[in-house]
Amino acid sequence: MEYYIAEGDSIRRAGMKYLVKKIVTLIMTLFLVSVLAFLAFQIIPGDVVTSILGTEATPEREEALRKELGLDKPPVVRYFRWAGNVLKGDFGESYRYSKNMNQMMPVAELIGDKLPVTLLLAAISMVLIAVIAIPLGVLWARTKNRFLDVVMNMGSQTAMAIPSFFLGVLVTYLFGILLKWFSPGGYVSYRENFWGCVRYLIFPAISVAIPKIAMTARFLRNSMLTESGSDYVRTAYSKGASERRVAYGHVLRNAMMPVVTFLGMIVAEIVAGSIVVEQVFSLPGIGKLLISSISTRDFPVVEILILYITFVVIVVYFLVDVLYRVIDPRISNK
Amino acid sequence: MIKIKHLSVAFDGPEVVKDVSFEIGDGEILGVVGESGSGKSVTALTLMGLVAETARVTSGEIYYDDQLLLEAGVPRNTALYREYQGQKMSMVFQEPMTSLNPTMKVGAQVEEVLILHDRQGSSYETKKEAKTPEAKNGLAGWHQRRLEEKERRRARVLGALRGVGLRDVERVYDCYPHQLSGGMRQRVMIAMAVILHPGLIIADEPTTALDVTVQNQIIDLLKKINQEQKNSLLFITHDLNLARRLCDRILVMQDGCIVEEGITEEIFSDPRGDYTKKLISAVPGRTGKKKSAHQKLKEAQGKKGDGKKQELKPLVEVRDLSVSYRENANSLFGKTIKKTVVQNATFDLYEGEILGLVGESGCGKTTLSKAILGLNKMVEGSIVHHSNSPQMVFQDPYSSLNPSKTIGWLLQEPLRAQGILDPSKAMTEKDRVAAAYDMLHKVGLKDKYFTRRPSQLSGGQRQRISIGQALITRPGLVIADEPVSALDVTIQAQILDLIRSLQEELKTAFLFISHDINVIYQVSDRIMVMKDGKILEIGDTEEIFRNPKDPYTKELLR
Amino acid sequence: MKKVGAWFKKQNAYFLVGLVMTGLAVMLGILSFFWTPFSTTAMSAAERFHGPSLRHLFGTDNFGRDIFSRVMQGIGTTVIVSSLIVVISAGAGILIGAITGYFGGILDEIIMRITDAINAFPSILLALVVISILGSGKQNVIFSLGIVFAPSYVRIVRSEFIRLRDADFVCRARLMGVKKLRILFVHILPNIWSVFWVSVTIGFNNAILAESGMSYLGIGVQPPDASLGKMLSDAQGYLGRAPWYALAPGLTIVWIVLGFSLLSEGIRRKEAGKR
Repeated sequence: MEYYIAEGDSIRRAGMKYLVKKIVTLIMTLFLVSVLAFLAFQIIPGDVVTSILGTEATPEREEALRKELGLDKPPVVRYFRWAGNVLKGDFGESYRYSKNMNQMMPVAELIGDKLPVTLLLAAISMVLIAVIAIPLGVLWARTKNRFLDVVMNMGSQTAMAIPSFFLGVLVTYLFGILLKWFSPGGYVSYRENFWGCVRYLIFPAISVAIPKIAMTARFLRNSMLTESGSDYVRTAYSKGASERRVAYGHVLRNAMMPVVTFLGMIVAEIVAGSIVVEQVFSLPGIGKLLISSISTRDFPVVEILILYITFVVIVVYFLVDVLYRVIDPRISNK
Repeated sequence: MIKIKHLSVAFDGPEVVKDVSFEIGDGEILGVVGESGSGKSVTALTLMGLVAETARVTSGEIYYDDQLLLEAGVPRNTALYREYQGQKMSMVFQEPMTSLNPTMKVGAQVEEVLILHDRQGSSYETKKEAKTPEAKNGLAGWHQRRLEEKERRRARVLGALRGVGLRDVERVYDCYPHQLSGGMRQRVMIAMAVILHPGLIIADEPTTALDVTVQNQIIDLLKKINQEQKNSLLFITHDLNLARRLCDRILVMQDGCIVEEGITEEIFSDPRGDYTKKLISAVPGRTGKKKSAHQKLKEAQGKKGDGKKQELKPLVEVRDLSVSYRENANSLFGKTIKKTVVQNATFDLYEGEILGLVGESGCGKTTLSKAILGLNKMVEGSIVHHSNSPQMVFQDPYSSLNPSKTIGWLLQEPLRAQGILDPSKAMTEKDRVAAAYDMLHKVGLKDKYFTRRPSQLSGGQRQRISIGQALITRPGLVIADEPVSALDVTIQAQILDLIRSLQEELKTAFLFISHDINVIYQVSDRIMVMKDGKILEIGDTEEIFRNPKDPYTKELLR
Repeated sequence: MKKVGAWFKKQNAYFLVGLVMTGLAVMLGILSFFWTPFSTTAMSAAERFHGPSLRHLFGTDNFGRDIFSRVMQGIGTTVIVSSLIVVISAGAGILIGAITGYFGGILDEIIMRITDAINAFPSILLALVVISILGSGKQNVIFSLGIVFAPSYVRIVRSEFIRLRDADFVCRARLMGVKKLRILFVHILPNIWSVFWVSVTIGFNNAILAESGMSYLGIGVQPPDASLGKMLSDAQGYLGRAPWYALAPGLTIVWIVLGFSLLSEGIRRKEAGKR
């Protein structure tokens, strides 16, 4: 007699193996990214030393500064020193910002309270996307009204076409200048008033979120329509299940699986979008610092910022991957 | 019990079911037989209230025990249908792999039928409970009752699973569909269909996606359920042999019409319609008389005297061949597991013969064929080839022709490739085109197809082109891997005829692979039976059929 | 003429509307290299902050310059820059994707690890890294975004080649003795065009959005090259006084991007209809 049931034990073992493999890949990607981030700034045309001291400096002074910055060592040594310091929490010092007369500003301090602003903005955007896009997508998939379908389709196409910074300008104009729901530039620090800060951040978050909401709703709708054509949906109807029950009890759960991955994939874009939108709303996040550091070629700051943002993105990818595995029973046995 | 009167159904275009009327009696097994596109599935889905929303019922009505279920021109009463679906009639579908919700546990899916029809399903049990003295009140009592109900439902589900021949049902209950084999899933589907003892069960090609041995078990199960529960069964199939084994009465459908109706044995012994006759003769059965190329060849051989076979030159000599795969080969740390798919295969393939290779899916027959072509890397043992550039014909007519090219281009490509490899065989453009046209005619297609693309051809026509493409360079050997399995029975017969006649003309040797022993019987000179990677027996076709030695071969021949 | 008419009838609405929208934009952009209604540098104190009118379709800016003419020039830059970005990234994508997808093996593994790492960077961030190394300017924007978008094409082309390399018709071509390069580019490649064109039109969108975003941040295309993003950031300070100044370049970007989206949707549906 045909007989095959996977042993619970072997599933668990496969799960552990998968997790270990994933963590190893995660660490390898992090390593590779840090190497890329570091190496990128080693091939810079034009010398940092010249750019700090100007072209008038004496060779001796240049030599001294080079030694001070550790630039006389080979790149591999410098990478491991740098990476080691980063792991210890020492992010180096800025080339540009000085703390006082004889000390440069540590990057950690410079980033300090700017990072939470950006992450908070990204998080609010993510919440907006999840809360709005999913019901919208379900509604869209279930509507039989052709007119509503066309409206949703055109609306989502348009929303996806608006760049987030222009959306920021529109939101500023509409809610800030016409409706006066918030005063542009009137940011409140999250340390002083957390909810006030969140209230202000909602508007930039809307600018980040709208195109992604359109994308996600569209994705979910297509996913649900694809699933609706599946054989198991027909089976469910054959049991006498109502359309509503089939949609929520069978289709949605299966349709959500790829959406979870999709949401994870747009995390990177949300973070990037946050950086741009910060400029529009003049938020004191890392976006502004990043742009100004790039313009002034303040590489230690740029390096750390890039590393930081990428780490966040990679870790989110990792978590989504693991989450997907937890919620989708099919994968555990593949 | 079921009456269908003058039913016609249309989608956007013309009607796909035309004026169909029939009745199903209590406890009767009615078979509906037809090829794809004959309207048999649409009829069943309409009866079941599951046909797509784009379908329009243009005429007729459906009664269930004198209750009007469906009427032309009146929108489907979904509320009424929901009462019937699952409770008074239920359906088993063709694809056990996809017909169960992949993210829901099997037990919960069976249980859903009970939940949906709870009011009627457990009413008498609730009454019983009310009589018990310590009937609890309040929230705790309600919760308690919920738990008890749940427990009762679980017991019923487990009972139903056991009833369809599943073992270890507690564990099956908590499995996801992908953890079960195809046969087990189909049993679960059947459990779902019979748990409320509906008066009518519709089975739409329930065994088509399954292996022969499993197929037999499922057919036996359906028979058993019919005898025990006394419900009617509407059995839809393309396979006349299956219908014959199971059904009391048979309807034959073609192009949306019923062309023949009658008691099973009468239809077989005395078919009236032309189409039915064609269908019966097309069935690759052991009953159908055949006079084929290889028989003539054999007769000719026979005249030369016995023992001549040994003097035939072997084209391929396979000795002690084992083929294995590495699993998890690309994982980082996971140990690679060597999985042997073919074990110690030893056989010869002679010039100009058709060697049939029969076995169920996963038995290693495709792997073996690929090894012969040198497409597998991990091979032990030896293969000695005396043939030049063997070609292959695949099962799926839709993926075996490059969709972006024209038929003419496709037929010329082997010649072009040959010319590049071996300049002495290079042909001029004009010769190539002429050769391509010649082959087009040989496989029975007209000139106009030369400039068409594969998407404009039917499955059978594509398979003809595939065969032509394989034969155009006149290879000594062609491996045909399930070349007719994706085709309708009548088309199947045509393609098998084509292969036989081309084989006779060109004297090409074929290794013909199929899961269907009847197809193998029709084309092959010799048969090789494979199971679990091992060759069980090899022998002349007639001999194996008359006198199968291995018990597995006997099961296949059942 | 009849042929053109028949061709139009065969296309779907998405494709046609998209074609008209992008076609109009591209034509305006190319026209701007030869002619604009007003000089884009001529300032006029008398005509500061005029609203849209027949004379100035999109109004005038804080220097009294004609916004429509400046938008035209901005489109011109955007069209050139994004086309070059797409050519670089899609070209690299086809070449690398085809070879890694078909042959697999260690090379594939290495290239996939690298594209994975690149993909982990948010795309604009990666462009910023390249810009911060090379400095801003048109060429550097093209180069950096070309690199940034290449991995997505590599992925698409590679997965198509992986899907098709084991297809029955490819297996049979191998048995016929067709040479590897011929299999790659004659047998397989024509079958991925539909997927490829869809991703090219989407690639245009990403390129336009990224280019204008970087210009908005002040690290993209630099003056004297006109740029829609830069205009938008200039206009932001006058949002209360002259909203049209910001709306003109912003809506122009939306117009072009929407056009390409519809175009790609049209192609997708057309291909889906074929099957």
